[in-house]
Amino acid sequence: MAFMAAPFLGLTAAQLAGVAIGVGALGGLAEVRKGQAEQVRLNAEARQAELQGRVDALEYKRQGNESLKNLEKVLAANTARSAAGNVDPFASGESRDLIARLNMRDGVNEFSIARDNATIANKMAQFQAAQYRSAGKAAKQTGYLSALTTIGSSVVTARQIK
Amino acid sequence: MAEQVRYRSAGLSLRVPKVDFTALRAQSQGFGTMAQSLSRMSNFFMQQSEQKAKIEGAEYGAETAPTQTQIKDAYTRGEEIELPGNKSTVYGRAARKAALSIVSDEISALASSEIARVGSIFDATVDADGVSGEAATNLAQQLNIDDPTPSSYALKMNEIIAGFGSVLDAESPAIARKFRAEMAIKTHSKYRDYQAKFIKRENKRLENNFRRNHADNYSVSAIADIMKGDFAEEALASLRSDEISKSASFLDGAAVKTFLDNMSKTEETAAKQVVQNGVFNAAGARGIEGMIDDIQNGTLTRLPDSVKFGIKVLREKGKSDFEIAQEIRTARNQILQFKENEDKAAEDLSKEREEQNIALAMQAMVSGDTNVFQSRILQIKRTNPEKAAELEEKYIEAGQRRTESDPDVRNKLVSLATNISFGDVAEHFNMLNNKDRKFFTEQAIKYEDDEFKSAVNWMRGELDIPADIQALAKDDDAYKRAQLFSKLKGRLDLALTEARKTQTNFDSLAIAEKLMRESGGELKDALDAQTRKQANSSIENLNTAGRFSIPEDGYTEAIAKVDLLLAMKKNQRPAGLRTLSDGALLNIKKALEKARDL
Repeated sequence: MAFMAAPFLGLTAAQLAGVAIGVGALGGLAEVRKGQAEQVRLNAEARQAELQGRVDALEYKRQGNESLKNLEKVLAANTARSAAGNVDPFASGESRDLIARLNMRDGVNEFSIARDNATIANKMAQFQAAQYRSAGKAAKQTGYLSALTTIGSSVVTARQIK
Repeated sequence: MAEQVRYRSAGLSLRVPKVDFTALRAQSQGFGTMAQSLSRMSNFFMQQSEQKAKIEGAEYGAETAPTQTQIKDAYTRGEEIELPGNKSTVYGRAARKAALSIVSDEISALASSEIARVGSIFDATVDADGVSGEAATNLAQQLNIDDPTPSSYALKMNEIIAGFGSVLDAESPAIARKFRAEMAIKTHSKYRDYQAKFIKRENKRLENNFRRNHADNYSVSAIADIMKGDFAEEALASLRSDEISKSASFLDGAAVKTFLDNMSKTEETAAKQVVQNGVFNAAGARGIEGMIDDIQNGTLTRLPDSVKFGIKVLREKGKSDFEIAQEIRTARNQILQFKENEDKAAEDLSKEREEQNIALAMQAMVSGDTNVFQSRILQIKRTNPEKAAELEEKYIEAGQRRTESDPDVRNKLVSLATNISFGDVAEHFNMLNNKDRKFFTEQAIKYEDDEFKSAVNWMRGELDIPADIQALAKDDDAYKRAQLFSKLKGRLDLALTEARKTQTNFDSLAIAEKLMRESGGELKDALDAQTRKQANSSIENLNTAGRFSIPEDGYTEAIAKVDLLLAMKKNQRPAGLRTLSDGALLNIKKALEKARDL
């Protein structure tokens, strides 16, 4: 390429070195723009992650409610069956009471799990969003640094020409 | 008891969503990219600095590389040189490499130069065809070698290569070995050339020695001596055999035949010489002709032994007795003819010398060189006294001076024509003969006299003196001027006499002008007196004719009277002045004004 440099556009070697520095600066600007765009993209990802977390949390809440509803159905059925069998449905310490307690423990346990899942989903979504935002910030900073190194390299290289 | 329903588990479990650690990955990628960029930049700068270090090192190495003088010193002392730089750093390696390259080139150049110098000394010795003389002295003094053999040559070349090679042994054995190999190849071809030249020269020298010795041993005189001695036949045969055997080492082919033919010719010449000398020297009562007749008739009994042997040799060379006798007769005639020619040549030479002496004597007469003339006359008197006497008489007639003038000088004096002066004649006096001396001196006198007359006439005109003036009374108007003219003429005459005496140039007009300038005061007085006298004469005429009473020297009053007369009509003027015209009155007025203004 060097043999083309001299006659290129009728420019001298020094003028071509100036052009190289200019092109390097444009490359640096592109690096900055790229970093900024990456940050915007990652911020959007963050928002999307937050939304997804909330959606997941709602689903877990719904599952918890479903567990409670099922528990209620089981307890009601057992009360009805006891009453129908001439057994005091509300008597404590009876077998029925023990079964009811067992059922309640299972049902509440599932509810608690669903509720915890909802909480975890929410928190984790926020954490993920924070990750995206932090990544975006890092991408932006990396863009600046890349721009600096690109411009610096082009300046040093250009100075080697003459 | 009624059957109890159990709660059916939906199978929920704790679920932790997988988190994508994007930030850390982005940071990691960013730092990775930056690390790569910085690494590239670092490499770039490293390369740049390495290149720069290489260049600077090479420059340093080139600048501080050992000089030719240092290399020569190291070579002379048998030491090794030290190179700048080292083997551990880029800068050091570059410096060392550059210095090594330069030193290698320098050593090659120095060694080549030394090899050429030594080779030229050896070549000069061989070309000089001997081991003596200037070339051999150079060989001995500069290389400390007495014998320019090829082995000495090889030894000297090896010394040079080893000496210069050892300079680099420690610093760069590889380059030292390469240098030795290259130089060995180079000097080997030179060695072969030298060896061939040396052998050729040696062969030539031996052949020359042989030929020189042969020329001495087998010369006509040597063979003649053998022929005149005892046992001539055996001695000659022995010598002949020796010479032929010696020649075998140097001669072959046609050269052998030529060599033998030359020997045969030498023998024949020597035999002729012996026979002729024998006949001419030993002629007794029978005389030379009698001996020649004996030879022609083949009667050799009364001849000397040497002559007999000479005739035998000539017969062997194919000469008949008649031919031998004929050649002796021819030789005898040649001797007589030679003697006759010699006498004639002596006579011619004498005559030629006489003519030369006459010519030189005449030349001396022309130029007036008495010494040469007399020495030549002495020579001529020996062969032609009459001519010598004739020339002496002519020279004495010419006053023992040159009989002819130098033509250039004569032409020059003639070209001066009327401008010739005594100085011109005196300057060239010695280059003129008597006749021309007299002629040009008379010319100078004549033209100097003419010029003198011109100058006198000019002075006369300037002083307004008539040409035929003789004696003037003291009261005459021109008396003073005539007196002054006479004085100036006397001075001019004196200057002319002085110029003739000293033989210098005389410019009459210039001297006359000078004299007139010098006597300017006297002349003015004389002219003023004349002017006043004329004015007073006019006043006296006016007083007489006009009955005026104007006093002498009353020029102003007289001018007033003349003005008055000019203002009057003619018939109003006094009767004695009516005849005067206005022009005459104006002339009188002008003379009066001139006198008044003095």
